[in-house]
Amino acid sequence: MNERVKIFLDGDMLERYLMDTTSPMESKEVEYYIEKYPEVKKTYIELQENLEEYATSFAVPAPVELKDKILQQVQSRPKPAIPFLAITACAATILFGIMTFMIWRQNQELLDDRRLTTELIEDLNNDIVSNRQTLQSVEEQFMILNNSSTEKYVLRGNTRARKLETVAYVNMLEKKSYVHVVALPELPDDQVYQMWAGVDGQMIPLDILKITKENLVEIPYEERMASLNITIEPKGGSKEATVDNLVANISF
Amino acid sequence: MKPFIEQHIIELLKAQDERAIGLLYDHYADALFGVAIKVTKDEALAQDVLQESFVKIWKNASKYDATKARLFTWLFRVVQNTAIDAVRSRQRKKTKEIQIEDSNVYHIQSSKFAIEHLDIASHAAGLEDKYRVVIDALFFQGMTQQEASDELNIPLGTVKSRLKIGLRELRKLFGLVIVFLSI
Repeated sequence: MNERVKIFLDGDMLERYLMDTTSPMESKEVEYYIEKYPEVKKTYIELQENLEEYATSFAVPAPVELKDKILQQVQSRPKPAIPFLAITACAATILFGIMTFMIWRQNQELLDDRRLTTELIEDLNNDIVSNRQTLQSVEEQFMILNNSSTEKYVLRGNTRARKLETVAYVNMLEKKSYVHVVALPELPDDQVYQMWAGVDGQMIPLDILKITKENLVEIPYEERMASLNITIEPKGGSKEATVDNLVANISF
Repeated sequence: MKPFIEQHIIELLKAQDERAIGLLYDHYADALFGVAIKVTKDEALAQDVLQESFVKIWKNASKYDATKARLFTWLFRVVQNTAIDAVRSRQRKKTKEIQIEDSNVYHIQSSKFAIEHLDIASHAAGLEDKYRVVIDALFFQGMTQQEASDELNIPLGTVKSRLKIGLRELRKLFGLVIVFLSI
């Protein structure tokens, strides 16, 4: 037998554990020995059997009526475990419900935040694309304007539109043309200013002039363009120029 | 006690099924009543102890751990402690002493529980007094081995050896076969 086990069994801790007179620390120690050493477990089982046998040898018939009294007493007692369990279960359920609702709300808020963030990122991406396009356009315009082959033409209004001032940039080599509408006198709602290119004696429609945020607006380029003209046309523009309504022109 | 019945009672107790108390009474009341009488030496008081013990058993059923003690061991402890408390309470009433230490219960003079005053079952009479006194002190008076040594005025080593030999002799007397549980 293990010396340690022998020393343990020689002591009285196991007997005291049987009689429930050990301290909590001692009980832990005894339970450790019982679990670890089969000899200790066997001895403990023997002790319990002996206790039962010895106690039973002094058995005295218990009064029959006492059983009924005990049963009545037990039945009349409320079962504390059930209400407690029920209350605990209710409390746990309510708590769980509140927690679930809070987590759901938090989740919804996070989802909203995520959606907003996604939209913001999309907007930013669109802005980036737009800015790139603008930058590219500005760079192109800058290239055109700084190109030595680009010609600048200033169209000023006649008596019918004195305040009209538009600058046209034409690059014959690149085949690009831009206008910068500086000022346009007001017109009735059913009329617009339309720009035309003079090509081989014909007036080719280019674009309807508007004041825009952009300084330069590209307009269609026409080969053999000999002049630029601005007329007042009905709203939506015309296919053929109303020469009587010519308010500005410049020949190249 | 049949293991099946014991297991069934434990399950009923855990489930707070009142049938457990009826079964417990049917199978254990006589032995526990004997314990209560041995400790209190008063049948009327022992009845009160038994009744109170069964209520305690019912209320504390959830605390019983079958892995730590057999059912009878747990029941015995409940009855023993209830009986010792009852004796203590009765002594207080009788003597009306102001200062009575709790440990008095465990230090009851051995003469009060001397074997010659106890109603001992005939089949236990074959055990020599020197062993029986030690076993009674430890099992029915709630003494530790050291306390038994002091009270019975015998060395601690003798208490230990008499307990071990006494238990071995008991097994011979009862002629019971001890079945060791597999580990």
